[in-house]
Amino acid sequence: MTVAQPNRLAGGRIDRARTLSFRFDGRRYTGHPGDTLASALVANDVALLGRSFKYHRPRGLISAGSEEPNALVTLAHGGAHTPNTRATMVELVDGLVAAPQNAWPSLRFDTLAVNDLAAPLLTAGFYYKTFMWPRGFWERVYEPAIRRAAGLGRLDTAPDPDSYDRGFLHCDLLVVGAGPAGLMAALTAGRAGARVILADEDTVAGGRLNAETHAIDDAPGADWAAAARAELAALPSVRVMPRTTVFGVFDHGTYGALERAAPDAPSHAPRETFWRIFARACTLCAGATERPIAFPGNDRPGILLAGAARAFVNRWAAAPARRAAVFTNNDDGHRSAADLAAAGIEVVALIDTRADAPDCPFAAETLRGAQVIGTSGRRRLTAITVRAAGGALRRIACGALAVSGGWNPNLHLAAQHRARPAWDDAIAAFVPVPGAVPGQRAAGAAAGVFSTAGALAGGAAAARAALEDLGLSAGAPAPLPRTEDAPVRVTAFWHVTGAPGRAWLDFQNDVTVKDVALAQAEGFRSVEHVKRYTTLGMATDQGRTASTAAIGVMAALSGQGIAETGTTMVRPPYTPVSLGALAGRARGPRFRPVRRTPTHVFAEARGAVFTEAGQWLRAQYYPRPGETHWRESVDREVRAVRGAVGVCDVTTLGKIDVQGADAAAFLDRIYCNRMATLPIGRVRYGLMLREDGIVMDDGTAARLGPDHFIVTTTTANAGAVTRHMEFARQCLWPGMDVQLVSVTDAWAQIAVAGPNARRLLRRIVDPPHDLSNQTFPFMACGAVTVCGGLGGRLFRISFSGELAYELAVPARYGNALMDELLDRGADLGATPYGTEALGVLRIEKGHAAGNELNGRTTAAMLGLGRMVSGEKDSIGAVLSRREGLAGDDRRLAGFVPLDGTSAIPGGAHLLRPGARAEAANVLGWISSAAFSPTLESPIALGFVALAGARMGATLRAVSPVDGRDIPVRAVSPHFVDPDGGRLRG
Amino acid sequence: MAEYRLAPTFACGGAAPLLARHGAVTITERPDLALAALAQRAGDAALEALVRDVTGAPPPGPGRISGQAGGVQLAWTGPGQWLALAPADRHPDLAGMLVARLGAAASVTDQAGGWVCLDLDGVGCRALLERLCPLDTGAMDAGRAERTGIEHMGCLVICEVPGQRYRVMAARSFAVSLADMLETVARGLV
Repeated sequence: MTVAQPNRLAGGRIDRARTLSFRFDGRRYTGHPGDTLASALVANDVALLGRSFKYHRPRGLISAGSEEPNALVTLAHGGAHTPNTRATMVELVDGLVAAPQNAWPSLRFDTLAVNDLAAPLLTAGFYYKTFMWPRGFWERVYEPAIRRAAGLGRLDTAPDPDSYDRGFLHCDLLVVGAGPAGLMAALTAGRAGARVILADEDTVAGGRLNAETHAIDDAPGADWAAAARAELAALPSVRVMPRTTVFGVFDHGTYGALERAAPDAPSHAPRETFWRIFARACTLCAGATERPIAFPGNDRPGILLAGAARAFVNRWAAAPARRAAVFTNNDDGHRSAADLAAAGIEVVALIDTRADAPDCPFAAETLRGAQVIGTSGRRRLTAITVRAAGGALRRIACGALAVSGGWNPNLHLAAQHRARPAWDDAIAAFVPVPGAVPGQRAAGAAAGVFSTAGALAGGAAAARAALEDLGLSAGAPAPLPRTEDAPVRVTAFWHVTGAPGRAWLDFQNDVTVKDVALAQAEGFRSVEHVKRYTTLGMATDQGRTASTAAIGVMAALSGQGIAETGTTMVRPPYTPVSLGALAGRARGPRFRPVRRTPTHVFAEARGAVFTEAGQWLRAQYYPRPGETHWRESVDREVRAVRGAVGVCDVTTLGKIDVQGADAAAFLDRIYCNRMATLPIGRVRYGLMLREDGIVMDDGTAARLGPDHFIVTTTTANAGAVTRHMEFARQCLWPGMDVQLVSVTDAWAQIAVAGPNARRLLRRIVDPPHDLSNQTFPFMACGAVTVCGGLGGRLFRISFSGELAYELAVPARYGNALMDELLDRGADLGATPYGTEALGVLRIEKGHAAGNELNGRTTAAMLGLGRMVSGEKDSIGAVLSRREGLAGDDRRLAGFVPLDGTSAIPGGAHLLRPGARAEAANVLGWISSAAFSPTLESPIALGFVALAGARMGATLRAVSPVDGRDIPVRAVSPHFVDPDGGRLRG
Repeated sequence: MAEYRLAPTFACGGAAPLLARHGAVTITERPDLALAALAQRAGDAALEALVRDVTGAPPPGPGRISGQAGGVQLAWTGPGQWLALAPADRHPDLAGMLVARLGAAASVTDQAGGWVCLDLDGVGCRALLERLCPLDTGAMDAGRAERTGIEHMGCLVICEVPGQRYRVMAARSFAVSLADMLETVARGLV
């Protein structure tokens, strides 16, 4: 049977008509819609929620919001687990299962709590001082042990079953935070017709209005917030985004936001969405975070922030305890005492550090000028020790202590552009500096204006100012609602002195006042250094409740002011962001888009094995039944090309359509060899250099008309070459009449290669076209029709060294053409081949490809030095002749193993026999290697210094990667048909 | 004439053009478009009048598409560059027609199979597009045509009816990935 909710009060903004069941730490509890996991645990009188990071101290809730440092739980969902979830931010749903973290064997009996006894040793810098020797132990022994003992939740290493999304939003005004200031700002701008996004991390807009008892226009503040929500929902230009945390501001008015799905969202919907918001202006109404006071034993479960205590009571009707005390340095703490008392909680004492504090009629007694100097209770608070103004000590029994050390404006988004906030003595807090982030204005508590009336006025004014900046009309100002306008009365008080025991500043990283003092004593004076040395503010909560108090402590210890002490750098994210949300859909097969060739369906149907070539998915080889190793398939495909005819989709090679009166002159400057002289109906091999004289890419240019060329590039460089040519056209020679457009995707291009290629094409290309060697010789090109009238283009070019053509048809016909080629060529031995055979064929022929065009090779090295024309200028021509580059005597060569059987390792270094395998002795390297079915031997291409190795020389191919050391002989790179008889046949 | 013809395939890889309905969005593959790239020859001032003669409107400026749906439309793709779109049944040889009508004023390149075109219909279009591309689709009016990126794919997004009807185009080889991205997001919104 489930336990009733013993600490549930009357009232609150929860739906008591429905009861939800959930589990925490293995036990069943109940709550209601509207509860957070935190409020439901409070209502069930569960105070112990976790163990601390370093000392494994019992910990409970401190806050009711996103700043919570202690109540981190692991949530189970969909078979997976999400660690480090703040219980205060978890909406209660039926069946929720949460587990505490960092406790073993259990939350109540945690053996590592012995760390707490060793606390005198575990001070700031402990690791740096202790685990220095022996050398090498850190990685193998110390760090793993420390990581096991410390840390928060454990990462679930199984794939995340949830989906995530990301997107882009645009608005005139982004309002961050939907408290009174944010609602007023959104109403002001929305009524004026501006495009507004109102984002708030809470489940329901209203901010503190939902947790307070203030009246607005004589009605409860939460009712006013509800009315504002309704009005905003009806404004077409306003988008209200609850459950959305704006976590960072980036350049040019871009904000990052994380939206969490509502618990009732369908299970297939994204669990979180990462939004990039492009805002012309921003109103920062993120409210404020209350800060604790550091006193001995201040981390005991049951001690929480005063504003959180009254939020639990007012909003969720959950009493932290039936007997409570309040410890404050400001008037707002008195408000908590009043609200707790009004809810029926016995407020046994209000302890105010100020000697001149007002009397609190709601507490049994008001102790002025007094301090809490100790606490007791094993797993939760049972009593506090108070030092009265005169120094007398008193013990007061209570189950909860509500603490207020004042409020810090949530200025993070105003301080992320290297802006530093300013110290404001009047409210003892840092406030945003106006104008620190372009286009952004803070209003309400985020600007240090803590009264409700001030928030409403500030929100309206900030929105009107933003609209004016944007040149939008704000209309006549509407009268502001009437509400409380209490002044802020606070006296800075950071930590209790003169009392024994540890006082925590950073609860999540277990950093105490003593750690900060030690850091200062050891010479760490800069606030940034103290942060790193003590780890204060470096946990997942980024010190939301810790930083200002720590700065206060540092200032007190050093004797300098808080403004002089300064703050640490504020960086995104404001609250933790799942990496899954940043990835969005881009995971698994959707990591990046895939480009499919026009013959993809054909290849799939033939059982092709695919390989990625950049974004392209290409058929690598086509295994046949009975073939057990890829080499069998590839060797067969190579033999088919050399002996009959093969067909291969080469669509992925870049195709650029070049037109214009100056097209020929343009190509003359792009390619290092002559193109302007190319006759119409002919193709020429072309080499283009980078500005620095190194080879950029190779390919072909086909002349279709006096002012019309088709240029091809390698698959890998299609984008780079297009960019390069566009740059030349637009920036280098804008006066030339040249137009470029990519047609890579428009045409399916299929290589038909082998002695039977012409016979096969005669069955495909329509009869009027004469394919004879006389009419259509090697390097001819032209328009043809195929298969009964379909327009295409035929190029007689060869990458394999065989009689070969490339036939281009509109992309949508590529698949059918491939089928047709194989059907019609069955008796000719027509065989589809993939990229692997393509590679073997070109290595056998000695054609350079990506491995040879690797950004370090020159035309001369490729054996193409004479292609760099001296009769004209072209990009890279001058620098290709520069000293050092021109003198490089390494040349492309072929290599065969001396024993005729050993594979030559790709990437191997070339050395003389007997030379030590070290850099100084390296003569060159192997760039491409394959087994040649034609030669029935391994072969390779590589670059080798002529000075050291003439053709026929014996060398060694040494691979430092796997230790192979293969004797090889340098030969001509043209293993097959060196005089080109076949391709011209 | 040879005795047979080749059968075209669809960019999204199906036996028929893609047609998918997910909640408030319908995604339709449009293989029935004729496409051609158009680029102004240097200094040729005659182009504007010639284009007006073909489409009924001058060549559009950045971010715009001109002409009437059902006829020949031009979408701006770069300085002095446009993509011409027309129903393939009315203009089976769009590039040839443009060469004939525009003469030496423009360079024309057939792009019939170069692009995949997916039409989005329904009130869910904006919710879909805002999760896909950085364009301010909420501010696009009819006739807006913008180059943008969708999950690393270069795309052209055309607004036909604000909030209701958009056209997304990308290089044909991306068709399967583009359709998958659109459908994945659309399914998450149902």
